[in-house]
Parts: sequence; structure tokens; C-alpha cells
Amino acid sequence: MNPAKSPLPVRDRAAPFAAFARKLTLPQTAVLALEGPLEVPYSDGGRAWFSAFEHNGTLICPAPGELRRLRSLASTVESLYEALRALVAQGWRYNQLHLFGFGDGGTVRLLTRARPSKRPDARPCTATPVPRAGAREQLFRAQDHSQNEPLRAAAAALYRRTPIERRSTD
Amino acid sequence: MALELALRFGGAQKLGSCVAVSASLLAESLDACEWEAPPPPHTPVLLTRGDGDDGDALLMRTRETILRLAPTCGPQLAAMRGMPRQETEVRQLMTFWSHVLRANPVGVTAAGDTLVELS
Repeated sequence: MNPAKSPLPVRDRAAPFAAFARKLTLPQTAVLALEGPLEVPYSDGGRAWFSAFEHNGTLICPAPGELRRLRSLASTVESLYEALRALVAQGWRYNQLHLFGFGDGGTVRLLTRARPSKRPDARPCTATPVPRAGAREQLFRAQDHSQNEPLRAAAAALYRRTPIERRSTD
Repeated sequence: MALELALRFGGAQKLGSCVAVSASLLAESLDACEWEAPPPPHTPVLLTRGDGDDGDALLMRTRETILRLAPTCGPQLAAMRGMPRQETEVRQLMTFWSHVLRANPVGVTAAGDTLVELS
């Protein structure tokens, strides 16, 4: 993302990306749209994946050897790494997991190929949003409800493991 | 973020794919010397670039780094202004996923089960 073109390069929320995924109507695919654990100051609720702002709201311009952004990013990557491993632990295969990210780590989505059903009457997943007040993830319901559980668990694990840091903007 | 994550998975843990739109690795990340290359094969990667994007230098460095660390990622480049909206942009995305899935079909399990597509 080019800061010169956008003063707030990391402010995306999950909903528009869930809508984008729904428009793609990918067959046999469940979509998990996630947003970053950090709130972007002055962005009306925008989220970021790593610390990108100084306390006064300006973008961090790292000096040589400065690792603030990198340390913050590493923490989130670790959480997502564990979330993917949680999906695999529940029966998904690594090669069924597809990542889609926008911006400098601004938003990441996990496009997961639906687990092949052993039933001959298996049907493609439908892209029906699961209403869940207060949840920060947009989760699409697979027609086979059992396919939702790994995604729910992974999303829950992600937000349990990722500390929500609220930067002071005073 | 997606790129950083994808580069952690290789070998038996190779992911299906990674699409990074208008994204690059952080400059600090590219400068770091302690990169640990994942074992091959690597997760296929598609990077997108806009016309005259000022971030091109970082994107090119990102691509070079991926090629050096995880050459079987084969990082492809697609022209796209931000999120894909035009038909040609979406087509590039679909073509990438099509190639990835054709090379690595997920509809057949080790037990021989096949995916049943119903129209």
C-alpha cells in the first residue's frame, strides 16, 4: 500500500471482503474473513494487523534497526499460524487452505476449500453469512453444518491468542 | 501478512496458495538476515501490482526475496489496481487459482474419495 495515496493504509474491516468473497461464488469453498487485532486511530473502527502508527496517529517510519512493526507483525503471524494449524488438526488439509491478503498485511482472508464429503449427496457450500452479534469475523455457513466447526474453532482460537492492543490517541 | 504467513508453510505443510493484492513484505522484514527458508515445495504465490505504483520497488524486492528463499513459490505478477474489480482482473485471479487447483487437486482424498459436484 502506498501511504502517499492513502493516509490510513491499514484500516480494512472484514465485512467488505466477505462480500467480495461472496460475489466470487467459488464452488466447494468456505470463506473466513478476518480483520486485524489492532484498532486504527481516527479510522472509525478500522483494523490493522500490526502496529503501524505512532501515538500521535502518524505512520511509523522505521529507522534502521527499528523493529516495532516487525515484532507486532510476528505476534499476529504466530496467531494466524496457530489458527491454520488448528484447522488442520480438525481435519482440513494444508493444501486446502488458500490465503488472500490485501495491502501491507492490511487484511488477510483464509479461503478454505471445503472438505470433500464422503457422502455421495454432497453439495457445494452456500455463502450465507452467519449472523453473530459482536463477532469480528464474517463466517460463511457451509451447507453441511459440521464444516463450520473447524472454522469457528480457528477463529475463536485466533482471537483468544491475539491480544487486542488499543493504542492511546490522546 | 498473507505473504509472511505463506512463507512459513512449506514441504508437507505447503498451503494451497497465497494471493497478496497491493502487498509486499515489510522493508524491515526484507532487511532481516535471519530468514529461515521453508522446505520445498512452497506455497504458490500471486503478487499484484498497479500501474506506476510507487510501491513497485518494494514489491520487486519482495519478489526477489521470495524467489531466493522459496523458489518453488514461483511468485507470479498480475496487473491490478487495488482489489480486483474489472473482469480482466478477476479473470487473472481465477486463472491463478485454476492453475493451482489443477496442479494440486483437492477433490481426491488419500482414501480415494472424490468430490461430487452438483450443478
